[in-house]
Amino acid sequence: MSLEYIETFLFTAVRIATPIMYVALCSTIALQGGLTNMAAESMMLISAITGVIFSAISQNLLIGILAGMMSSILITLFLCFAAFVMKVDLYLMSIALNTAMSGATIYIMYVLTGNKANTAGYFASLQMPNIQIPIIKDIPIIGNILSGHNGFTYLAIIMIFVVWFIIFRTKLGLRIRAVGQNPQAAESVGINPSKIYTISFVMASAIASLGGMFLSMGYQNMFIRDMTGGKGFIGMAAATIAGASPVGSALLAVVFGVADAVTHYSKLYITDAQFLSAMPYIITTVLLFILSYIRLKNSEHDMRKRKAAALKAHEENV
Amino acid sequence: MKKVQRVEALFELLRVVLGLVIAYIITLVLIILTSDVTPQEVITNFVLGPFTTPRRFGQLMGKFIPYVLGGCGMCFIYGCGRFNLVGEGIVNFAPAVACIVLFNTPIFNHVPWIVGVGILLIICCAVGGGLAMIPAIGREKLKISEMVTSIIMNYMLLYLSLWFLKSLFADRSQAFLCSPMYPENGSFFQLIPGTNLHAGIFVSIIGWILACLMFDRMRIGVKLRICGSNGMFAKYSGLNTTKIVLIGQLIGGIYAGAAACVDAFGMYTRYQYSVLTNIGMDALVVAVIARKKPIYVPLAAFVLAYIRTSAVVLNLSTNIPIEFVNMMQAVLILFVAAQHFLQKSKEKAIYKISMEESKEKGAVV
Repeated sequence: MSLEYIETFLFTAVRIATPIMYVALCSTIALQGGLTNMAAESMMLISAITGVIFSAISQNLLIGILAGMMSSILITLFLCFAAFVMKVDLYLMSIALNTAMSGATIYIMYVLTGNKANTAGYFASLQMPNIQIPIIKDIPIIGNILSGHNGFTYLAIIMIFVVWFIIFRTKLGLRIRAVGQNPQAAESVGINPSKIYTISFVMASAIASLGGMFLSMGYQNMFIRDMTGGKGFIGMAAATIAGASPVGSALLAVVFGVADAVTHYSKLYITDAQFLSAMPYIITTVLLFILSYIRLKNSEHDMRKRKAAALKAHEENV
Repeated sequence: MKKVQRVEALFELLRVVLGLVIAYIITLVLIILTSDVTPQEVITNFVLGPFTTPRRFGQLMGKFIPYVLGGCGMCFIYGCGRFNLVGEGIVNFAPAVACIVLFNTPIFNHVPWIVGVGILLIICCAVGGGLAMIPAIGREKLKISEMVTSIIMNYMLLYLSLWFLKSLFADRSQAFLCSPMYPENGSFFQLIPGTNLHAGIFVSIIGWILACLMFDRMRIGVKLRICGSNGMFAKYSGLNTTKIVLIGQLIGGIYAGAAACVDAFGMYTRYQYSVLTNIGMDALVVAVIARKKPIYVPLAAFVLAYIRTSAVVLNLSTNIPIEFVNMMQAVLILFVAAQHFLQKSKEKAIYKISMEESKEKGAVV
C-alpha cells in the first residue's frame, strides 16, 4: 500500500464525513434542546434540490445556497407548527415529513424536468469551489489530505465552533440547554419551551441544509433522487453516541466517514460487498450500546459518589 | 356520561375522515395543477383505477394483507408509547432467514403445505420478535433512543439480508439477485389465479382477530394502553412498566415478522427484495389512521392500500411519479394525528351537552 493510496483514502474519508458532520451538528443542537431531530433527511433533501434549481436559474452560488437554506427553514417551520401548535407527535411528523420530502423532491424534479432520476442536463448547477489552503497545502502528507477539499467541508469545520459557541457561550444556548434538561423548570422561570424548540430546530435546519447542498452543489452538481441515502440518520446516531457534544459528534462523523471509506475501498478486494455495506451500521449499533452502557455506569458511579459526599457532609454538620 | 363519550368518538371519526378528504383533495388539485394530465384522466385512474380490473384489485389486496398485520403490530408498539421502527428491517431480514431454512435444509422436502407455511411463519415471527427486542432492551435498560437504534438497524438488516441472499441461497442462473423459485409447500398460493390475492389473507384475518382480543379483551392489552396513555400513572399504580413495554414491542415484532412472511412468500415467487420495502413505515401510518386501535386496522389498511395502488395505476397510465402519494401521506398524518385539529369544536360540543344534562337534572347553573 503506497503512501499516495493512504492519502487518497483519508481524503475520501474526510469528503464522505462532511455531510455526516453537518447532520451530527444539526442533531446536536436539537439534542441539547432535549429533542431528537429525525427530520434531518428531509431538511437535506429539500435544500439540495432548491439549491440546485436556484443556483442554476440565478447563476449565483450565494443565492442558491440562501434559497436552499430558506427552503429547509420553511420545512422546519412547518414541522414545528405541526408538532408544537397542532400537537402532532414530533417524531411521527418527522418520519412522515421524511417520506413526504423524498416524494416531493422527486415530484418537483418531474414537474420541472420530466425526469425522475436526476436533474443533470436540465439545471446546470453551480458548484462550491474546492479550496487550497495556502500554508497547509505545502506540508507533504497532511497537505494532500486536508487541503483541496470543497468549500462546504471547511465550512463544516467552522460550524463545529459556531455550534459550540452558540450552545455553551450565549444566552440562547443556555436557554436551549435549560429546556433540554427540564422543560417544566425552564417554563417556571419564564422561558417558553415551544419557542426555544422552534429556534433550535430552525438553527439545526440551517446547518443540515448546508449538508444537503454539499451533496448536490459541492460533491456533485446535480440532484439525484434520495441522494441523502440515510446519512441523516447516521449523523443523528453520531450525535446521540457523542452525548450531544459538538466536537465529539463531529469527530464521530469523521469515524463514520472512515468506516464508509473502508467499505468503498475494500470492495475492490472483498467480494462480500453486502456484508461490508452493513458494517458501518453494525459498528454504529454496537457503539451505541457500548457507549450508552459506559455512560450509564459512569452516571451511577457519580450519583453514588455524590450521595456518599452528601452523607459525609451531613454527619460532619451533626 | 355516555353522550360525552359518543361525541368524543364522533369527533375522532370526523378527524380521520376529514383528514382523509382534505389530503385527497389537496393531492388531486396538486396533480391537476402541476401536470399536463386532464382531470378526467386523473379521476379515472387515481380515484377509480384500483377497481377497474380484477388484477388491479388483486394488487390492492396484495398490499392490504401485510398492512393489516404490520398495522396491528404497530398498534402494540405505538400504543405503549414507543417508536420502535425496526419493522422495516424485519420485512427484509425475517424472510431471508426463513429462506435459509427453506433452501439449505431438507426440512421442506416432504411436508404438506400447511406445515411448510407454518414453519415459515414461525421462523419469521421468531426472528421479528427477537429483532424488535434489541432496540426495546436498549431503551429500557440503557436509555438509548429506540428510534435511533431501530432506524440504524433497518439499514443493517437490509444489507445483512442481501448478504445472506447472495452468499447462501442465490439463484445463479438469474440475471438479477434473487433466490430460486419457492416450492409449493413454501409459499402462499393465489386464491384467484392471476391476481395478488393470496392465501396469506387468512393469516391476516387470524392475526387481526388475535390482536383485537389481546388489545381489547385481555389483561396485557389494558396494561399496554395504560402504559401508553400515562407511563407515570402506570408506574405508580403498581404496574411493571418495563416488562409491559417490552412485551408490547415483542408482540409488535412478531406481527412485523408475520407481515414479512405473507409479503415475501405471497406476493413474489422468489426472494428478491433489494431495497427497504417501506411496509414498516406504512404500518405506522396504518396504526395512526386506525387511532392505535387494532379493530379499525383493516379499514385503515384498506385505505392506505387503495391510495398506494391508485398511485401505481396513475403512474402506469400517465407517468406521474408514484412518490407523490408520500406527500399526501404527510398531510394525512398532520390532520389525523393532530390533537388540536377540531379540538375547539369538540370542547364546545361537549360543553353544550354537559350544560343540557345538568339542566335536565334541574341543577342551578
